[in-house]
Amino acid sequence: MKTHHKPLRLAAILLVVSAGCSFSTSSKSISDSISGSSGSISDSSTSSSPSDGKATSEPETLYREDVRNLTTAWVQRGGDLPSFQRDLGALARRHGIGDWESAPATWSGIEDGLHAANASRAQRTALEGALRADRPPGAPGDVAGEAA
Amino acid sequence: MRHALLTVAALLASLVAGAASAANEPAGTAWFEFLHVEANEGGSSGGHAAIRFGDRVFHFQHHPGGLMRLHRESASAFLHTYARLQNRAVHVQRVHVRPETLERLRGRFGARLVDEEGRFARLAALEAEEALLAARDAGTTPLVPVRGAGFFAETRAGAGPAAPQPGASPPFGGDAAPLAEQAAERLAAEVVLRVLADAPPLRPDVVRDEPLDELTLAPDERVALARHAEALDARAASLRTSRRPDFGSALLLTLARRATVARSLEAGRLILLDAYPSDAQALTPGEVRAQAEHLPALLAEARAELTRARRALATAAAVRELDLTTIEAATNRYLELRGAIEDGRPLRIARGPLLPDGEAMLPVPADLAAPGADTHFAATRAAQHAGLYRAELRARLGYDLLQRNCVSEIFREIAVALGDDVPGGSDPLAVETLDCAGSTQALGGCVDPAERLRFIPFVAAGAVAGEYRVATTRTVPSLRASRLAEMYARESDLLVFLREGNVLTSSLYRARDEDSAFLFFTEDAPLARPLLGAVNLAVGLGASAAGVLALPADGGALLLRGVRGALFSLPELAFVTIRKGSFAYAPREPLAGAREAGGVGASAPAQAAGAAPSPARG
Repeated sequence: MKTHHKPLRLAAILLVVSAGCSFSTSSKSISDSISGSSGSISDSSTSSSPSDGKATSEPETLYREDVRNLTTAWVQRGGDLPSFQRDLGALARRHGIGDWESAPATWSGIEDGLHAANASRAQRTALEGALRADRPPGAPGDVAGEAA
Repeated sequence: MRHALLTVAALLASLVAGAASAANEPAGTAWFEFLHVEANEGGSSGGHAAIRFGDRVFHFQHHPGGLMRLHRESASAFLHTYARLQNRAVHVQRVHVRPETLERLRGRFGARLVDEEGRFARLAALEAEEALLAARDAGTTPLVPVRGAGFFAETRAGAGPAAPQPGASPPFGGDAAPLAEQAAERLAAEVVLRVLADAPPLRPDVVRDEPLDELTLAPDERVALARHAEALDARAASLRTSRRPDFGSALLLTLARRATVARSLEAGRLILLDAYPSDAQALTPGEVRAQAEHLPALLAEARAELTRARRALATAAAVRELDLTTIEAATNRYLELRGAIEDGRPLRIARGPLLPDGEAMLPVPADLAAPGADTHFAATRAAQHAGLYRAELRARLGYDLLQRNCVSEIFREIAVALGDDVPGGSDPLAVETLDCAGSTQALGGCVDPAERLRFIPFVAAGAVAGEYRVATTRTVPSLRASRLAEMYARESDLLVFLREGNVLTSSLYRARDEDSAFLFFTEDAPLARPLLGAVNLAVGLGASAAGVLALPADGGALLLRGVRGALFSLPELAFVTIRKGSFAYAPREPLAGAREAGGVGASAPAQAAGAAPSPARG
């Protein structure tokens, strides 16, 4: 039965498959009125971050990882500091953070990113010097203080 | 009530299944999962595919404009959308890998996500510049959206922005930022200087202040908010001297939040900023009434979410911005629903985190809008820049049914991540050829989507089983299937089959405008599928004919449902079911697999409601 219908089934599926993969549309579903998704901050689960063992929320971990990736790409591609700050600001807003300077995860993520990109001492010093003035009290250790 | 009981039963079943799987998998095992989502009409009639690392699911979606974009969601949100609301079974294959392999894969997808978001933000900025210069060329005053400029009364009701104060502006500019972005930053800086000088009140329409008992602050919450007020004061002081380009918008948000905290402490209840984006979609009161049966459950979920969010006020040593954003979002969503239900207001909808933007459209400063250059030349050049960037994005991210779709991109990323090239290289999108060496070494094989129709999700799922070292497989049933199974366990098979097999008497399904016109569910009747499909075809054609008559009244809605009904009946004639119906609402109980403990990089066992784990086929 299965074998007999296989070509027919494949043809039928191919007939409709032209519509392709999941299509993104602006949601107007009432289900979306109550909660977020996409790594939403509404999902406030707590997990253990593999890298440092500290208890941290999943949204915070996601944000930190994104900052790390942004920093790594910035170091590898090069670019001016204001552009990095703008990109950082836009990334933070997507995570629900308006003041990225006050989020400890920002600084941890930058450190992670510099480390992942094997940033030179000069690059670390330049970034740290530019950002240091605005660092809030209690933020993680100096960006430039980490061994290259 | 009946549904609630069924839901609880499904949840218990999933927890039991999850525990069973946990016992079979060594603690600390690293894994990823390939998810094949069955087809349904609507968003993806060809099926869908995703990859999961721990609690995160990455998947590519086809966007308007013909572009593919990577998305990241929590596993619970993904399964809720696809298995419940879209009523599609999700077939899961778990692949055990070395921790370093997992890190490379996860890092690659994460890096691509950030890279893509940056590119689309760049495109938006170039398009804003194009619009700004076109307006200037047309002789009109260009306006730009300025975040934070709409929070305070003076900035929108006043006579326009003040002139820049010499020496007061921050050292932004002098870089390659698009003009619209520079203008918005400068305007925000000007607005915040006036706000600091004049201390105007918040605009009433940006504040959510409702005298409800459930918003009353507990003593420990008052203490936490008082501490947070001090922290906001300190941040405001720091931001005044900040060198970041967007300090103005950040400071305006901080000041606005500080004002709501003060009002909350004074009133003894939560008073917060309106957090919905200015472009949020909204359901009309009529559309909300049409969903009346779901509203009590939705409101209960929103209330529970608010209670959870407020725990941060009672337990955290210091309230962080993410905590406040969570509370703001939960309060906004609860009040929005309550207002729609009780007062008949429109219901705004926005997914993801809600961050108050306080956006206002302000005229671009004259020295930026008209720097003296040839306006037509500048507008033309900006249009060319934006056009070139759009074309570049389309070349790299353009959707192609056969060569670049939701399946092909996953396997391309896997191959790149495990190839010789270090993930997160200088240009994550500049990958044209598939190098299978790394994938073969790390996973036991390689899935090349260009081969043997592997760009089709269910074919790709078969390829994963054949190529990778799959450890376990399971299926997350669709919402209707899992509830039907429970009904079959409790009631007469014949009764359930007859009652639930059609849209007229089904107790589970309500016909929706989003679904096509059909009569029979053919998923549960494989042998009778062609016959039932023929009836569905007739229903679709009939609805199409009626839709032609109704065209002036409904704008073609019934005609569209009818045509789609006929189209999706055709595969049923060949024993293939694509259409499965969908749901406007489903309880958002936690799906197992979204919460997992232990593991390396990922976590230990994942199970979803009703999921049945089984050993891999090979």
